[in-house]
Amino acid sequence: MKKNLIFSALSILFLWLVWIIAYDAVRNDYLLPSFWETFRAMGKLFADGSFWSAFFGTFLRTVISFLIAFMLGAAFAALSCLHGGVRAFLSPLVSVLRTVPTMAVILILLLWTNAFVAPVIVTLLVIFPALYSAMLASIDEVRGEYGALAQAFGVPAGRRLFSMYLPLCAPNVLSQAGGILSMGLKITVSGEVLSQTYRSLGGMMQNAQLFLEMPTLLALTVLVVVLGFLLEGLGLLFKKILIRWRT
Amino acid sequence: MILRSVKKTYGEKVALDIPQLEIEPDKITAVLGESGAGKTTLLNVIAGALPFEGSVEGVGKVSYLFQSPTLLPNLTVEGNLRFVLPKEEWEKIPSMLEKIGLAGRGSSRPRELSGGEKQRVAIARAFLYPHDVLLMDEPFSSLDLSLKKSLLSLTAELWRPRRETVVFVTHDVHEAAVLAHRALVLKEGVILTDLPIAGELARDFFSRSAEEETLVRALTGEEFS
Repeated sequence: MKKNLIFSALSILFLWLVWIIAYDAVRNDYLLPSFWETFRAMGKLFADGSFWSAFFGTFLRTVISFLIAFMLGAAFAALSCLHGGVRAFLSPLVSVLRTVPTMAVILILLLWTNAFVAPVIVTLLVIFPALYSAMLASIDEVRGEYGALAQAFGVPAGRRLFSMYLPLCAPNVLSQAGGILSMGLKITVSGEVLSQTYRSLGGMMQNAQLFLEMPTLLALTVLVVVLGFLLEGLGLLFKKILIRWRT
Repeated sequence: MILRSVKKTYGEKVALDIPQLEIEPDKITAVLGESGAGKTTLLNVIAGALPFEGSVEGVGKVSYLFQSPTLLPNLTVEGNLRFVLPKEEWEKIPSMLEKIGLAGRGSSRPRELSGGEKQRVAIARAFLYPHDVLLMDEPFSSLDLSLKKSLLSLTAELWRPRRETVVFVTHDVHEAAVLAHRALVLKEGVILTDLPIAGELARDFFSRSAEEETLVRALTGEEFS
């Protein structure tokens, strides 16, 4: 465990070194700002109130998309398990959602909705298949392992749900939920960039690029990456708190 | 329990073909046979878990003892028993845990139990569940000899007070000879032999060698009775 932490720290150090070496090779602040310049830009962002409202706006849009996708994923996965027809009906739809280009969806959604709603919907459409598939796979696994037992002893549906399916599916789903939430953040930011959403991290990135504020653009990128890590960690933390029977 | 004109086919293949079979109450009936002989199909037919031709009468409520303990890892020992039992049966759990030698382990999780202890919980579950017929599908097949012997004894101990109808599928002749009152030998879905058994008689019929018996005694350190 300790060894793994050291390797993870080394990987971050490696990225930092690559940045420093690349900056030295390029020597052009408009193409690649220095680490320290970016660090200073980050400090300025933290002191700026509009950054925080953009930060919470983006965070809120990501979380709203995730929660809706989570509820829809759980409902449809349960229905798919109860009825093979629902599973067959959803299968091509989920495949289409997986392959459709995100940018094309955002452009279409911008015609139908507005810059605040489009990133939420596109994130929802991208992460729903991932959550649905994760939940369906978990339910199938639990049913395969313990379904015959519950069936043989005629265990009531409520007991099956609360004592078997929910607790046994939760570890797998929560393991993947953090990563999916982090992916959702990435999609939300992309949607905001294309939609030029007011008070959003994506919108701020778009502005920084327009005005060639490269340190700010890079600082915002680093902050999105850090936020993504935190969201992934949040999923693992939830898993640790909720799934005590595994430890 | 009576099976009349029971036939189960998978395409062209006849998995089970039993013109008439009466399974006596108060007895343990062993069903022996090689893989694919139709043993598990017979259990599924009795349980009504498969569509089949013919009829099975007088089954009533069925309880199961599977090959693997199949305990939910998120629940405690007591939780696993509660999971399958009607609420009115929950009060019987502590005394059953005592009988199976797991008194005070009710709050343990399955991962804290040994393989034998897990199977004990599965046996307790099968006997606690209100039933008229108990179906056992090779529950001792993956256990080592000494554990097998102790769990066979436990099963017999739990069976004696109620003497319910038990259908016990196994491929181990010796298990059948130790536990059952009657042995049915299935081959390609047909009952080849129907034999009342009592120890030596079964061993004669299935021709277990004296060397094998010596090995069994040496491995368990005790004699089977």
